Order: sequence, then structure tokens, then C-alpha cells
Amino acid sequence: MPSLTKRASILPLALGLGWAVVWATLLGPSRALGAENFIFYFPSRHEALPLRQIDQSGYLPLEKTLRLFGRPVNKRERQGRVSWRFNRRQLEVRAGQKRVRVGRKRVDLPFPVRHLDGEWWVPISFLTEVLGEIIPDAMEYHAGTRRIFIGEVEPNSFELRFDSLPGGARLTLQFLQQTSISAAEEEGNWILYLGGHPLQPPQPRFEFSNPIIKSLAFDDQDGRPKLILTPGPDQMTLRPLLAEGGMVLILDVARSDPARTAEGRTPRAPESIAPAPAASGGPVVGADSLPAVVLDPGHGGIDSGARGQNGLSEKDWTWRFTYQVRLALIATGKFRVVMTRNGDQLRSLDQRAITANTNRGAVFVSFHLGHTGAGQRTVAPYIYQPPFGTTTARSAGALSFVPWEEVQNSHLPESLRLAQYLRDELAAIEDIAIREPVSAPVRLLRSVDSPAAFIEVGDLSSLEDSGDLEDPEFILQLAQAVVRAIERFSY
Amino acid sequence: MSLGMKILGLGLMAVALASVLYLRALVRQLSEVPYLPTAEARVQLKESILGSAPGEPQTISLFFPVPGEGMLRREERTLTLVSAAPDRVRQILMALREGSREGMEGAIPAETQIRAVYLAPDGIVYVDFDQTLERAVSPGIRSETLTIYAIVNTLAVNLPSIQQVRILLEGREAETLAGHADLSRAYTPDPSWVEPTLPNPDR
Repeated sequence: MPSLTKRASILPLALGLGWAVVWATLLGPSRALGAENFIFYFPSRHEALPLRQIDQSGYLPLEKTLRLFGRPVNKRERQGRVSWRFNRRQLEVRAGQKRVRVGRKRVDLPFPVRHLDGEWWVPISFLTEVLGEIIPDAMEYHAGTRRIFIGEVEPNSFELRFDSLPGGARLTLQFLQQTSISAAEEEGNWILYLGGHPLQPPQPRFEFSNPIIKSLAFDDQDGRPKLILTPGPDQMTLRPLLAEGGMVLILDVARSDPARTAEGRTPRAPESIAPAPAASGGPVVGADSLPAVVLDPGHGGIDSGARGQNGLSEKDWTWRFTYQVRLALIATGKFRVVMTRNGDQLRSLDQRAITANTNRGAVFVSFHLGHTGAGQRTVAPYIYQPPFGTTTARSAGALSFVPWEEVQNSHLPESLRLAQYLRDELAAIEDIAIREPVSAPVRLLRSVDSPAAFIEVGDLSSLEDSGDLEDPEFILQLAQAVVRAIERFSY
Repeated sequence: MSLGMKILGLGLMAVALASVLYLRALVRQLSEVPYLPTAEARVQLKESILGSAPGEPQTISLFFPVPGEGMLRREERTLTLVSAAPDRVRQILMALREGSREGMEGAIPAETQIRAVYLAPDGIVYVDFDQTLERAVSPGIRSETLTIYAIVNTLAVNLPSIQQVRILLEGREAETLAGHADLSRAYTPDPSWVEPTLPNPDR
């Protein structure tokens, strides 16, 4: 009996230990991930790897990264270098070197490869610059983010609008793809899980200078895309409503009714976020009543555009800048904003014009970065210059067919007015050279059936200036000037 | 091992080493894009003049982008032009490719090859450049437009029979020069791209 008693006392201890071992096994890898993770979205799975900050740049563990995409073999490590046979290509990196050897090709990374704590670390751009050469799948990565989409994965995204309501506020999220939502409350925040589908937010966090809603942040560090809504200091109630067949999420936040304090900040149960009929009303981002603005971030995908001496690529800069313009336009509540590309995608010039023309009456602005040769920050607005001898007037007849390559011609006076407003507003920014609007043979603009302007920012030729062009304050000033010009033009 | 064998072994090693170095240099040479510096462009221009029927020296106008400005500047040059019209076009383009002597930016990258020149009876000249033009021109609407109008204005000013210029790349009609400026059209000379303080090209 004594032995039985002893066994009975050991049993819970053994079970507890076993349970701890199981938990350690299950949670071990995620705990090892560290404070910041980088998420890889594959078509049927997602993976997370620890992201290490070295000299203010994000680095990924090389071998673990390769194992996500295949089986690196024949590892050879000697004298500050390591090589593998991977996907029938020889891959070699050297500690402290930016140059990576892929078969017979050499690729330069923006930052050197590191060998720390027995592990090889590569900058994030290794994924697109080097792995993109080796694996057959397309990749979509937005500079500065902590996620990459591989193969057929098409990430969802959204546009956000903020409205003040009596005693509360409303956030309206217009998604690009159908979404399902479930909600939960954690530590005074509302967590909105976005159905597990990969999502690329326009920006990681939106801050509101408002007593009702403090912020809306996106997080997918555990591979579950979710929005975290942080209310103001008072007791608040959230009323979420999924409308337009899962395309629009309306989040009404209001100060709690004192009589119902017990309900407090508890959001409604997830099942209450049922799809609402489309006619349920409420302001919707993208409502057809608002004038449309089509923003075109130049280049994208394999077309990087121009490249600065410090590695700055035109496609990344135009994407970041255009997103600033888009957010500032949405914040005015006066426009419906359409982008010609969603992330790092290749779009032909005609596809961009088609996007503009399917939003009739829109204002079209295309943004580019170039070698202006000025050696200082320069902005030059352009409009379309038609070939000599083509007609610029559209016939007033009931049936008038306009050749695709002459569509822009009849809009040139309005395009010039738009370009002049852009010039005036941009000229207010200090320390930049602004050029007068000029007609140039911009191929992109010829088939845009609305007032259209083309902005070229520079100067990429100068190393110092390339750095300046990424200055967030400069980008914000430019974006605000563009928004003021579009407001002046449209209202 | 005898002394003779040692010498033979050393000799073979030296030959093997030399072969490896030679092969490496050869691979590097083949993998690199052939570079034709300005000096070489000048030599080609002189050869074209020497190889053609001599004529009277003439003053021609060339247009080059002004550094830091979105404009072209006229620069004069004395050249003995040949009699055949397509060869004249080629000769003038070679002079343009040679570059400015007054500190202006290059209009056509020095390593660009002029593959062919065709003159159509309606006054359109087709100039076919190799892919280097697309690769070497700085991408951007300003630089691409200046390159196009430097070519168009230069040809139209010096050869009055030319009404329009059509630029081809590798024998094909390209959509753009380097992503921005339209190449799907024939260009008419445009004096508005030339500095207003200096004489403009006549049209």
C-alpha cells in the first residue's frame, strides 16, 4: 500500500512533466522565433522564421530560409564562405560580402552577408534578388514589410476610411477580396481575425488623434492575419458589420451606454459579424458617388525601373510614395482611390490605362523616379505630347470612334490644368527644384481617357540625393502637395 | 625522382596554371558586354569619312542635353559629309554619338551601334540601333525624350529632306525607349526641346 500511495503521488508529477515536455515540443519553435518574425505565405501553408536586426537592417537565417523552398545539399563551409547545391544551382555566399554567387552569375545584395553565432544571415532582399533566380515561383515582397507571398498567393488588402459620428467613430475597411471576420477581446483591445487569408495592409499601423479610436494595427506574426483595434481611454462598445458580401467591414465604436456598463468594451459575438445586405447603407470607401482618382505607381514586378547609386529602385519608391498619396486622399473623404497595381506586380502600360478608363471621369496621376541630372531634389510634371499632325479635338457626333492611341488627345487642356496645379502645390515645398509642366511623348498617358499627369521625381544620379528621396518627411510633403493639387482640380 | 622529371613536372604545372588563367580571362571577356568608349566611336567616325567619296567640309549642328536641365543645346561641328543620303545619316549620327566637346551630356551612349538606316520616299528616315541604346540610356521620361529629340532634331536640321524620324531597336518597332518615351511613332523635330536663348532648329 505504501508503494501505491507513492505511485499515486508520483503520477500527477509525471503527467505534469510529460505535459510540459509536449508543450515545450509544440511551442519550442515558435518561442525560438524571437521578437520579430518574417512570414512566408505559400499557396497551401505559411511559415515563420526569426528576423534579426543587424546594423538596422532585417536579416534572415540563410539555411532555414533555403529549407522552406527546397533541399540544399552538399554544404561546404570553409574560410568565411559557405556553399550549397540548391535546385540544381550552386549557391555561395561569403561573410562580410555583398556579392552572392548563383551558378555562374553574381548578384549584389544591398547589405553584406553575416556569419553570427554559427549561423549564416542574409538581408531580406536575398529572397527576391537571389532566390527569385533559383526557384520557379513568382514572389511578391514589399520593401519594409515582414512577409512575402510566394507563387499563386494573392494577398488581400484594404482601403481605410475614418468618420466621426456623434458620440463615436466609424472605421470603414474596403477589402480587395471577400473576407470573413471573427472577433475577440484581449487586454482591452479588439482583435479581428481575417479568416486566415494572407493580407498585405496599406501600412502596418494607423494612428488616430481621436478620443474614440486610438489605433488600428495589422499583425500576422503568428501567421494568423488580424487587425488589432485599440479604443480610447473611455469605456467603449464595438459594433462590427460585414457588408457588401464580405467586401466591406464597418466598425462602429461608441462610448458605452452607462446603463449597459456591464457589457463594457466587449465586442459583439463573432456570429454577429454576419454578412449584411448590400443595401444596409453606411458610408463605404469606394462609393460610386465620389470622384475617382487613379494612382499609378510606376513599374513593378520584374520591371524595377531606374535604380539609384545606393540601390534604391524606382518601383519600390513609387509604391511607397503612391501609398502615401492614396492614404492622404482617402483621409479627405472626398475621393474614391484606385491603384493600377496591387503591390509588386508587373502591369503593362495599356493595362494601367485600362484601369484608368474603367473608372470613368477619374483623375489619373502616374509617379516615377528618374535621373534628372539636376544633382538635387527635383520634381517635373509632364503631360502627353501627341504625335505631330494628330487631332486633339473629339468629334461631337453621336457615334465617334476614337483610336486607342489617341484617347488622351481630347483631354490635353484639362491635363495641363492638372499639371499646373501639381506644379503650384509642389513648388511650395522647400529645397526642391520644380520644373514647369512640359508636353512629352509619355507612352503610358496616350490611352488614358481622363485628365492625366506624369510626375518624375529626381535626382537618382546623385548618391546623396538618392538617400534624400527616401526621407519620410520629404515623401509626406510631396504626397500632401499632390493631394492638395487633386483637391483643387476636382472641387 | 630524377632532375629531368622534376623539371618536366614543374613545366607541366606552369602550363596548366597558364591555361587556367587564360581560360578564366577568356570566359570573363566573353561574358562581358562589349564596351565601345568614346575614343572608339571617334575612330569609327573618322574611318567612315576616310572610306567615303570626299566632299566639301560643312558645318553641321548637333544637339546635346544640357546637364541638369530638361533641354537640348546646339553645338556646331565641321564635317566632310559623304554624298549618299543613308551614309550621311549614319555619319551625322556617329558625330552625335561621339559626344559633346562643350561639356554637354551624351545624346547617344558611345557604345551604341547603328545597325541600319533606311530612307523612305515620304521623308521618313528609319534608324535602327542595337539594344545598347535601350540599356545604356538612363530610364526616365526626361532622359529618354532628350535622347529621342537629340537624334530627331539633329537629323532634320542637317538633312532638310528628312521630315520625320522613326527609331527602331534591333530591327523592331519598340513600345518605348527605356520604359517611358513612346517609340511606336515617327517623330517630327520639336524646337521646344532646344534652349530658347540659342538658335532653334528650322523646320
